[in-house]
Amino acid sequence: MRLPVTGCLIQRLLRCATGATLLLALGFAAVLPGSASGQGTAGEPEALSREVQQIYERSRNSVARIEAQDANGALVGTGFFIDPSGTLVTSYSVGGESFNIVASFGESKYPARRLVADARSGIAILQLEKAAAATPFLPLGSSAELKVASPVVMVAYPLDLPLAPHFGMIAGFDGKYLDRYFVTTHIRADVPVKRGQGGAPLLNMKGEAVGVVISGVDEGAACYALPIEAVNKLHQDYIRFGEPSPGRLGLRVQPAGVASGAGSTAEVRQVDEGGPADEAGIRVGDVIEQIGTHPIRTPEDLLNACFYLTAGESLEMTVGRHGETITARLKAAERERPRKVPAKASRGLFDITLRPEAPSP
Amino acid sequence: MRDEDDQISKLLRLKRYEQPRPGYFEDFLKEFQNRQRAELLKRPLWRVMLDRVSAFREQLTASQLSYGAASVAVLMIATVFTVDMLRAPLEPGGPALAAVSPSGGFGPTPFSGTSGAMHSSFNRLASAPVSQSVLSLEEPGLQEPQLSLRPRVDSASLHQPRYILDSRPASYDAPFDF
Repeated sequence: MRLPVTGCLIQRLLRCATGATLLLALGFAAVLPGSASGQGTAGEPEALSREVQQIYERSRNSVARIEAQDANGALVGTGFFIDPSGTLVTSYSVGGESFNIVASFGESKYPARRLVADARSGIAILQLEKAAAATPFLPLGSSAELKVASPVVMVAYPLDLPLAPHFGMIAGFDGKYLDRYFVTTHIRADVPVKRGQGGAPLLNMKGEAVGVVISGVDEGAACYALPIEAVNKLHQDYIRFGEPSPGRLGLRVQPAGVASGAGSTAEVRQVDEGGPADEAGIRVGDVIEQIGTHPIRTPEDLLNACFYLTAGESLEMTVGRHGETITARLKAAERERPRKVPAKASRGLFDITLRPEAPSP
Repeated sequence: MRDEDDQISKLLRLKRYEQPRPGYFEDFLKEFQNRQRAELLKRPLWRVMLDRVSAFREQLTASQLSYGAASVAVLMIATVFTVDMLRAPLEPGGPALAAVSPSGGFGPTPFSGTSGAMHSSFNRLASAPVSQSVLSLEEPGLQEPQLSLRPRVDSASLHQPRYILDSRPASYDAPFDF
């Protein structure tokens, strides 16, 4: 008699244990994700903060305050080193036309000279005149790896305040703003900017420079940055030719009413006589489908494809003509560079400056 | 009567070739002015001034007086505003507008930190972020050359640095020329 009673008791105990285990498991399942997410919401900002702090600490000595003078007086902006030989990148408004340029970084302060001033893209490249040793510099990243909502950090000098990091994310990639076209696609970052931060580096979360802050957007709530590839192109031009050497194809395009077989609407409207496109046999009415490695779908796509052209560079161009696909090989000609804008402004109740017509990009 | 006319005709014919010596009229004018000045110098200065003021008052009318008073009032107001604006301290941390374009910058503004309705409106404009296209005639679609209307740059503000941030990237109207 005892055995069945004992067996029954054991069975009951087992059932109770199983039930309790299940309840515990369910309880943990219900509670643990919440607690995990709770821990996550508390921990992620701290982790992000640490990451931004690390980027800031790594990059702070590579970012310089640029002080200079122009015809209107003293000006202050931000710049950053891109190599150990003291080469600085800043915006054209800071270093493009100014003189008596001085770069301050860390505890050091050195005079700098202008290597490149490119009003077309809006940047200037400077170099320290008497750097005692190799300067710290920012590694260059790839803006092509950025996507919308990618986190970015800007390190810059706001107004007359000390160097500070600013965190935000990529909001988009724009080829134009308020119906005016940029020379190439710009990065629009939701990073708040203040005066004095023109020329600051935009960094990815690896601490690599992916852009140069050029302007504010929407009252400083966001900013536009020139992709670092554009800076690199101009720097390479300087190394090779001593100045920017933009190339041109010698044609004008317009949006076609009907897309070509490859889906492009970039129709050739005019071909410059004797220009590279003319010599390569490109005709009015052809629809451009590819330039070099850049596939073309709209006329705006040519902005990026052509900004990175260098005078004298050979490239292949694919066009659609009457349903056929034709590939032409051409050599980019030299593009006329923008005239230097007079720095001196007239004086009066208001300064009115007439700017010369900027050549089309 | 006829005889008189004939005589006059004869006299005119005779005098036709008679001319005063060269420089006569210039000398005459100088001589006249010298004599006039000498005459004036004989009189006391207060008398001369009194004569001139009384002569001026006789010529004045009520309308001329009102124009003069209005002009003086405008000049005084303008002077007070100018002196006030020049003496006004610059806004801490934001003394200047930054560049409006890659080719040129907003100059420093002397309007920050002032008081009064006009000044406060200027403050709002001057201290606004540069991405706000205030005081600028640059509008999208305008063919370059463009007009940039900038705040005045005066010698006092030349010592204040301008903190640079462009209002927009370099941009173009007709980009499809490659």
